[in-house]
Amino acid sequence: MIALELKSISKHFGGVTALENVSFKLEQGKTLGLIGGNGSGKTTLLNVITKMISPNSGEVHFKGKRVDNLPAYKIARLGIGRIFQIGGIFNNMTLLENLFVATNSGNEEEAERILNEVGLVQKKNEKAATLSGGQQRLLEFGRVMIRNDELILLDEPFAGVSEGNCKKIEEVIGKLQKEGKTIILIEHDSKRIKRICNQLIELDEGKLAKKTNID
Amino acid sequence: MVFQQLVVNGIIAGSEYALLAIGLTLIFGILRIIHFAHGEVAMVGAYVAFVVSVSLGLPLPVGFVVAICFGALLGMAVNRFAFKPLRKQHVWIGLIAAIAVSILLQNIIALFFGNEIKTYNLGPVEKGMEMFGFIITKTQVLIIVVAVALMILTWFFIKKTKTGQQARAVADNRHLAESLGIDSEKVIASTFAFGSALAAAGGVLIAMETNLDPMMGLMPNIKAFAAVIVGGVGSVPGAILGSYFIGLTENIGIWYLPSGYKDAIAFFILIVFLLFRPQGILGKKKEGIEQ
Repeated sequence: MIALELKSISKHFGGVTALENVSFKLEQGKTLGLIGGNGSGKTTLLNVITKMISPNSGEVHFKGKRVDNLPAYKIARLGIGRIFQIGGIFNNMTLLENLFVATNSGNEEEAERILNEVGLVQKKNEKAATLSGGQQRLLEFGRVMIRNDELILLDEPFAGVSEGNCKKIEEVIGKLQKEGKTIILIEHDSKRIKRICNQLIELDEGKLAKKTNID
Repeated sequence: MVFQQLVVNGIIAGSEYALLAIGLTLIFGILRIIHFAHGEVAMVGAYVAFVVSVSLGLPLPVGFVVAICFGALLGMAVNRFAFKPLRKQHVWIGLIAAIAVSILLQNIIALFFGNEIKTYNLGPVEKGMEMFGFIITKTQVLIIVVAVALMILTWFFIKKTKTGQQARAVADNRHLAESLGIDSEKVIASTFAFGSALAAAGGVLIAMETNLDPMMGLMPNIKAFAAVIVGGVGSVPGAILGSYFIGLTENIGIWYLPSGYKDAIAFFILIVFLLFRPQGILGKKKEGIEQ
């Protein structure tokens, strides 16, 4: 089953082309690595999928349903979660509040179990701003776990993170893969991306330059 | 004796300002606009209670509840018709819209009720209770009790309700909140409703203590704005703290200065904070307006 399909997505910022005619399909349960130099359009592509920006042309389909005509919050409610390069947590909320605000569940046991899985349960009542960069990413992973998102978009989750937390993040991604989640990962470390992903797409100046199967 | 009385007067004034300041800071936190028509929402609330209690002859507590409900609806209407269409414009455009709404509401009330002063007909002038060296009327005790109860309700709304939690999320990072499935427009409408309901409650309490006229919301709103700056923009505890700080200093200040300087004291404090501690008492330097 196709989880995500992009049809001829183009996005321009003024005279600058961020994405041009990008199309691909991603099967459910697969992990796609998105690579390319700075400014190649990787984050813009995630922004288009989540409707943080609207494409100039093209369509986004999630599980067979066209979604690019929906507002961002409705797309998120379909089960598309995201981990941001920066600013992905609510600094003034506790860890538990960061989880609860993303879901209708107020089940504290469930939230604590998830925080335990990402190694943050000891800090559950602390403000998220007190966490290190790596811990903040792990909290974001906790959020996609409690939301039970089906498609998870990871924007450089290892960037600026300590070795220990990188291992933990890889472990969590492995767990999500075992649960059958569909994942798109932006990452610069080629060894890591080959270790984690089934497919690779290389973007070059907004164009899909290369598509490779790793399996 | 005089000092204790001024402290009590300051607490009463602070309680009234706080009900307006909470709404101002909630709306600023979420939209980064100064809602200059907030005082007029309070004024309209006071007139709604006047219609219910004086024109219709129902008890004032009924008028108080109707005013709160009407305030919530009015707040949502102001958001929907004045602010939402301008959401993508510069914040200054929102500020101008707020001033326009303020003038519009003053004139609508003046058109229907006239510019002359009105009162709630609370009966003969109350004799105050004397205790601990000060005098306080039952109405003033009621103002403090109701204001504190509404502040506790605000804490419950922000900390314990889903909408309150989502409002904090939208105020912190609107794009992130939307990417988690939060309908930010719905949250903004709810925040306007809640903040405006508090303002309407504040308007009724102010009118119980003084009188009603179409301009009655202007000065309390400016004081509430000063309280928001003094306490720390975007912080509800800061808004409450700032309100009592302004209420107390302007009342204690007239122990030393002629009473005509009362308003000037509040503005002097505002200027001092803007110059030397713009983040306010509880605000952090890199947050707030710059965010």
